[in-house]
Amino acid sequence: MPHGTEIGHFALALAFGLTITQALALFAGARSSSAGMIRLGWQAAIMAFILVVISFAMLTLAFLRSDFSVALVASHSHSLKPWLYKVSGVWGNHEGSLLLWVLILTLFGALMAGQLRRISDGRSTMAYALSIQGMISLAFIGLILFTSNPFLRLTSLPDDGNGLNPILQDPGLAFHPPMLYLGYVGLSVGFAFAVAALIEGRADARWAVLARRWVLLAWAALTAGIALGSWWAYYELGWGGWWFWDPVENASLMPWLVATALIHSLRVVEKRNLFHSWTVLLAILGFGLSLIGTFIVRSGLLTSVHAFTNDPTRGIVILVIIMIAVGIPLMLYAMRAGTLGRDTMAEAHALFSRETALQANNLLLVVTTVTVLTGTLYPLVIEAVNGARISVGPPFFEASVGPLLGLMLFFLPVAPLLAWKQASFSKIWRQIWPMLMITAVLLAIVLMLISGMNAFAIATIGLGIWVMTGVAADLFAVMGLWRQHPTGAWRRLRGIPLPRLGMNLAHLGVAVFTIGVAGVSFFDDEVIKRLQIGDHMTSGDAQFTLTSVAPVIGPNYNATAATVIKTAANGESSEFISEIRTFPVARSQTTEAAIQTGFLGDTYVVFGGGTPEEGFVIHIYEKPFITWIWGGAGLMVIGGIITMLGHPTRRQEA
Amino acid sequence: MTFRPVFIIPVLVFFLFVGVSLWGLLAITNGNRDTQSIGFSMQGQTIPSVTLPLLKVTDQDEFSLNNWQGQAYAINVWASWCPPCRAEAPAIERLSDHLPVLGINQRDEQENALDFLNTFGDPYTAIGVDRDGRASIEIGVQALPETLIIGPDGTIILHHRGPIFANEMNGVIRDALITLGITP
Repeated sequence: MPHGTEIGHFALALAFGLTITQALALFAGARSSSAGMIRLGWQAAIMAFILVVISFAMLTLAFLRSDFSVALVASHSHSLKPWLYKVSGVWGNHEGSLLLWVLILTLFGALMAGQLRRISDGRSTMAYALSIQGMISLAFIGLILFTSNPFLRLTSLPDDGNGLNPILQDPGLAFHPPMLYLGYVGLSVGFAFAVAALIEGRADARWAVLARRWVLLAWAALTAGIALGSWWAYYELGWGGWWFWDPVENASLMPWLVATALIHSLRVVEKRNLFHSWTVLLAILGFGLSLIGTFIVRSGLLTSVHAFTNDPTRGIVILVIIMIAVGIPLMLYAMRAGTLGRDTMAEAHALFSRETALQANNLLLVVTTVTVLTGTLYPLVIEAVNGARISVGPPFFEASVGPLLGLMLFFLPVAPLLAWKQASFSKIWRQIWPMLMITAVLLAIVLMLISGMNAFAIATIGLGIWVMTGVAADLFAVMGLWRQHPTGAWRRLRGIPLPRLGMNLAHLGVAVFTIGVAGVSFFDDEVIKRLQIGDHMTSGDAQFTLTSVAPVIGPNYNATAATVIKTAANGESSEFISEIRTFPVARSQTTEAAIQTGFLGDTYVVFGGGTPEEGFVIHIYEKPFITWIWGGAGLMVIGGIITMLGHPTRRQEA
Repeated sequence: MTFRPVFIIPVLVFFLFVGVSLWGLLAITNGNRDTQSIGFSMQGQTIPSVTLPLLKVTDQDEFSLNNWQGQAYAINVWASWCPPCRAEAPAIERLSDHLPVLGINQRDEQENALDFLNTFGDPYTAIGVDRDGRASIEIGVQALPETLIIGPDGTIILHHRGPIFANEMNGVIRDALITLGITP
């Protein structure tokens, strides 16, 4: 298709028009309860999605065919690139990633349209929400068409493309941004519901039931996206760590923290019809922070290792979108928040109740978000005050966020045990003291096995065990082991409601994650040595021998590969090959670490260059339990999805 | 429950954020967001003697500013977790063509610091490890990255806060080098 690019451009322009229809028809339809208008609106949402799919497919085709007459392909692709990276090159740049963003935005629009078509209860809320969603799509399609058009052609044809940043040439990039965007954009649905609630002046249990599945889906995707990004940085980029408190990472962490608070507070709205205004605010902030994060990263406002465009003019356009998208809802919020719970007869809850526990969860998560935001924006504020460009870095974040998360972990296992409205302290204590005992015993065993831990390490591992014990206790409660006869326990466990199973899996994920963090933070070890070929070095009880250093020719790079043989104490040996790759087209270098992954941790060998005369630099890192970090995140994702699948689609009277 | 003043707080905070961001962006577009406008309390004074452990094993056994008495040198304070430090790496490389650059690696992990040097280059004659940031305070460093240029008599000729880019190389750094009689 020689004119594929023009077809893609045209399809996007049509989608722009359809999102206008979507926004206006649904708004009018919801206001006047006109079934015809609402139908027109959701049909437009589905059509807009189909057109954006066509547009995205055409751009992908241009990358696959290496059509260098398209300016974007010429500057971000190369004919020698493997096909997978040609595809991932589509979103490895500003314009293409915006198109991916719009693709996901309209996908959610189409999914919401599907739900709107079916439901009878809460139709006007849903219609308002889809109208707001249409407005967001409209803004972003407009941003692409008017400032960041990926379909522009070049008048003179270059011989070949300008390559792609070699760091971005990795399978991680094929999956990490789409997943992250699924999370960011998914939060737009919760946001749309929040604005719908403000328009209607009502955020009741029925509203929460409609919104919560969407937020759970977005939360699971965001968790997966962040975890994949961290995995990518660690395994593929050889950065040696899993989290750097870089502005880009913080930009994804902030919406995640707010979304985590939101799934918990929506539960309170749903079950107890409380926290209306707070929940609506969280939903606005969740997506608002996704936008702000994207803005910070894209505008060049803060220096980041990940940044791929630094264009202040584009930044101002995005800032204007944020001002409208977040500013107006917040103004509406200032006027309407007090009326959101007006129709409900909220009952008071005691201080000692699950409501309080969830309030504490929300408060801690939001304080953590504010802390991260402060640390991220602080350099900017300082610059506004006295002109110095600075970076606050991990020492600030670790010291401030660590204790907040610790406090949260401490309360986490208690919350699910508490009853709504009014919990009985004596009843809870009967469940908590065995949990405390079990935690103490397990921690004592760990302390006997590993010596020389400091207080922070002990506290972190203790909290991990404590949360695990809490999960076990909740499952025991489901099985009725506290009160009922043990026969039938298995049947009761199998009959566990999916949301409760999901919650426990996610909480177990938190525990596993905590232990992973403790392992890496407190027990990692490293050795660096200059070796001649044939020399060896030791790390732990294993011996590492450098056997060869040789040139390697890759598909689009040249490399020097060092081969290191590890001989474990029991005589087993394994081979590590670490490479330094030079990409001639992009004129840059990357390091490929050799990693051996195991259940109890990783061994990481990095070749640091050198010459036969001086010797070759070899780094060996031991990263105990690092895999648990991603294992934990994986459990959280599965837990979130199971909760979503088991979540009721309409309100059930308890 | 109807209108309550607390509900205005989110929108106020939001517009504060928008204001600061807009300022930042406009300053970049107008090209006047520069990084050298704060006064430097230490400039013109004598550099205090600082001794630190070395980041890498070399023939010296410690990192001491005293060893450099009698010759001009530069000090660059950096860390692997500091994105602007990555951005200024090429400029530091260029600076090291003119005079020895001593690195002070502040509040960092050794492995990350070495990875940083592998990735972004190592222009440093020697690197001292300032694990808790105390030595940085001694020499008047408040934030990362900062660069100092020291004369042969130990006087701080220039104390520059923030990263060094082409602008600084052709401006303040050039001036300082000329003061020292070095042709940039």
